[in-house]
Amino acid sequence: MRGRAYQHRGRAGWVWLAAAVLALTPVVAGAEPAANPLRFALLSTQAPDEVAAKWQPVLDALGRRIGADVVADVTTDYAGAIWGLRNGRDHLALLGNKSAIEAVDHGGGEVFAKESFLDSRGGYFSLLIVAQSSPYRSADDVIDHAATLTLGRGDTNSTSGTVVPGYYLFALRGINPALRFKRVVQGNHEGNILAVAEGRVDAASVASSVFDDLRRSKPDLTDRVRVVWRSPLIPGDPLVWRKDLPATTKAAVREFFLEYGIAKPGKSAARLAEEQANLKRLGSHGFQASDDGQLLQVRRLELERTRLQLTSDGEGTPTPIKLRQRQEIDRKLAEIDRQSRPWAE
Amino acid sequence: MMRSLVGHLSRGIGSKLLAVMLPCMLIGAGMMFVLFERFSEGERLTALQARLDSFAVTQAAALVKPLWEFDYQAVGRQFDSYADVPELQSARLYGPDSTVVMAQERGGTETKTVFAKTVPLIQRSPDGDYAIGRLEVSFHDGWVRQEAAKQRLGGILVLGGAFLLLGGVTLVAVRWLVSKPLGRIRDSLRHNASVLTRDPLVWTSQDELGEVVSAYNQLLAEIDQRTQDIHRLAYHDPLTGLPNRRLLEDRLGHAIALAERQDRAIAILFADIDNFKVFNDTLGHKQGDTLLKIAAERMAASIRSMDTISRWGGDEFVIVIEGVASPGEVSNVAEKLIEVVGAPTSLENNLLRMGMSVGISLFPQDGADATTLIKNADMALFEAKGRGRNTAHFFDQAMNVRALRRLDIEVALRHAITQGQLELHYQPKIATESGAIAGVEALVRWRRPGEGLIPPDEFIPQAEESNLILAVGEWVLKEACAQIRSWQARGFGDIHVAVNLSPKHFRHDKDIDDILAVVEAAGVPPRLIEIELTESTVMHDAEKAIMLLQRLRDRGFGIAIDDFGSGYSNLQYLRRLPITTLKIDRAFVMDIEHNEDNVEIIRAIIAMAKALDLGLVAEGVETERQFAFLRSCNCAVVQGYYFSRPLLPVDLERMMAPRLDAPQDIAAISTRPHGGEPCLAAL
Repeated sequence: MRGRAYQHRGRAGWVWLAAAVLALTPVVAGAEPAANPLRFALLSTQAPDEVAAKWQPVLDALGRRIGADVVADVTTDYAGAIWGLRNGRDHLALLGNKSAIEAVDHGGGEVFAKESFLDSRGGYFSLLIVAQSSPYRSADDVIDHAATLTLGRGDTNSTSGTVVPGYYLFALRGINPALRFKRVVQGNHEGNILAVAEGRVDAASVASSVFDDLRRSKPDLTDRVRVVWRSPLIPGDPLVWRKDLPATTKAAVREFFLEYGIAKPGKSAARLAEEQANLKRLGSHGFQASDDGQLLQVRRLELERTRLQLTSDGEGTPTPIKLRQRQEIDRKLAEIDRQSRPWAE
Repeated sequence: MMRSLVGHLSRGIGSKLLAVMLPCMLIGAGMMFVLFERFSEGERLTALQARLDSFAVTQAAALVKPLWEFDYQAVGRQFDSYADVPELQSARLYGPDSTVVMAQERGGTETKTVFAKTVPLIQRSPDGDYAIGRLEVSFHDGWVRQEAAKQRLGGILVLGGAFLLLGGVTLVAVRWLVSKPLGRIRDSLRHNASVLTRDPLVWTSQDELGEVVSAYNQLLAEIDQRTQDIHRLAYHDPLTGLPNRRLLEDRLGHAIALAERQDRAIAILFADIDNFKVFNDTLGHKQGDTLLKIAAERMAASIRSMDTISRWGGDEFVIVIEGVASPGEVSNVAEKLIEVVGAPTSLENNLLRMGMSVGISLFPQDGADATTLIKNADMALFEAKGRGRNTAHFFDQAMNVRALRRLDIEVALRHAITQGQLELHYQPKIATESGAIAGVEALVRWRRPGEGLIPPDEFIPQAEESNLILAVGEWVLKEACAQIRSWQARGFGDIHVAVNLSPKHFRHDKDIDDILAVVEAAGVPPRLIEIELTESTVMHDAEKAIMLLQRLRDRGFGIAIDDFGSGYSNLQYLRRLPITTLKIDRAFVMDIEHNEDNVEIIRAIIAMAKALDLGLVAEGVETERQFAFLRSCNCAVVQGYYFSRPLLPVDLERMMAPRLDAPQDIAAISTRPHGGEPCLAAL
């Protein structure tokens, strides 16, 4: 079954699209926008409208490059993006590492690039923040008083909001935050920062990229919070496409992103400046090539986290399902071990 | 014993009732159980399906979010919780590409029915709905079956228990309400039927059985009353209220048995009121009954309570005295009875006095059984009556002999006629003037072999009682006729023969026909025959006698009134009777010499006979003085031992022979050697 209807439609669409691309390759943007636009899934790390607004110029450029409309789909949760990709609704997506794993494993996606960061570190961090007025100075402080505190965390499939702090802060300590904290609420990064600032939650795990972005745009907000813990570096957010995208489109898309914001022969200065301005607005330094291999680190992290959680407090006696899950995790870990060196800070 | 008990139980109404009820109850309960089971099973399966649906839907709803978010850990936790769902056979979560994401399986489906439900997992989002997979859940009915089996077992136990309880209660109820009461009624019926008791049944319940018993008791009481009535009627005399003959015989039987054991004596008194017939005739039967009652009351009052008085019949009473010490004591009792009965009685302004005769027999000397004792007492009574009334007389064996003799004669007499043991003797009647034989009176004699000649007064009364007298009379008439013929044939001439006939020959016209037939058959002229009758014969029903005798007279028969003067002849009738002769009773003749009155009577009779132009014969002449007197009174004919006793024809012929051969003197007759009695010659 597996969504054959939409796949079929999708495939037919792409045959048509490929023909169009082939036919109109030399034709510049604006000519004959296709009836079937290319759709680009975006995670709502911030308010969806803001995200869409920031990305629209880039996507318009991409549309002109490939000769088809590119529409942004900003999903309220990470899973929406993964399922959109998987469903064939979306053809491209900017995901987090954790969500990219799911997109690759379950959504027929493939990592082809990743965000570069301004500071050239090639990644970002997960931060545990508290209110400026909070008495807690460290993650241990927060965890020690967890029973009285409300924790804000990211989407289940958020790398920096959930997976990374879940591993480093909780799994390694054998803690199930859902049981240890008085309450755990889920929100996007910006929402969580706002919640901490406003005192609705006592602590929250957020992405440094978003935090930095807000520090620039809404310093009065970020001033009201304080970082008490920073995670090891997290690889930059991957760009994912559907594997079944026509090769020509793939090539065009890859070229577009890798060259975006970079001086190239034939690229006017004005356009370069525009591109760089757009990137800056996105808090991005551009894109660099990548593949599924980038996910190994987070994969491992997630597996370890899950494995630890299976034995952590509140889980009780191992059930057959848990044992199976653990065996599965062990098998996957061994697989990762075979593929790469363990990722370390 | 067991078998009989079972047989007894299976015959009873209660058992039959149970035999119908219990199987019906069992079948009904079983059917209800099966129906309930069916219904229950359907309910269970419906409920199972409903649980499955609700389980699948709720689980699908709960799984949407984890699956959407690829949170397989949460999915695993969810599936872990299915271990607590007993009915779950399998749960499989499929991804959109139909790969199995998670599964929870149980084995052992071979004996179970499996119900499956598939729920698609749909994530709704503003961008549209995502089919993110499906949940397949199947429930097995094993747990339901197990529960049902437990419940069925419980149901069977409850049903069995209820059946036993109900059956037991029914058993007890039927036993108490039906079998036992019926048993009591049956036992009472058997009891009352077998021993002739009338014990009513005590009953408390007011149901139908109570009504039956009430009716039954009423019936018993009625039977009791009827039995008493019957007993009283059967064993008591309704007039006097005394025990009747049957009861007396019964009591006497008991008294004899008792006396035998205790070696004591009993006296049986047979009492009879003298001439009670006269009271009855003169006062009427109603007053006669009153007299009987009075006599009964007086006697009953005078005897001891332990003694029994009964009414034997008519004016006869039998009294049984037990514990008799001596005959004298019994004699006193008898005299006392005679005395109390004989006390003057005032009845409708008449002062009466009843005489009573009593015959007494004693146990053991006068008989060993009731019948004999009563018969002997009766015999003693007969004796007492014979010895003048108003006395008591003890039975003695001689009475018995006499009685036996009477019986013997009666029996033998029947044969005597056919076997020619009877013979006629003839007593001559002498004409006073001439001294010649005026005729003869034929007198019957019975020459019984081995016993000799039996005089008529020993057998005629018996013959009178038994109607044998008719045969005897007929024989006499025939014999006399034959004799007359014989005498005529042999030249003795016409000799008049008087024949005595019983009153029983003069009751119907036919009797006269018989007489005429005999005489006619013999060819004898009726004028040679004179029929002798007693006064009582003709006076009993004089009008009838006149009519019948007239027929004889018309034919020429002579008719004589025998023993004239001894009875109460109505002279009016005497004049009208077609008689030819009067025979003066011998009692008058015998007393001629001592009684002057008799002389006058004889003279009067003779005068009357002359006046009425009747012949006259004086009987029983035994002396010369009697003959002389009679001759002086002009009594034409005399008869008696003075002249001749009754003679056999051959002897009589000898007496008459001289007349035939040569005229013979009467004196010659008297010289006959076999006389021994006064004869004419002596005159």
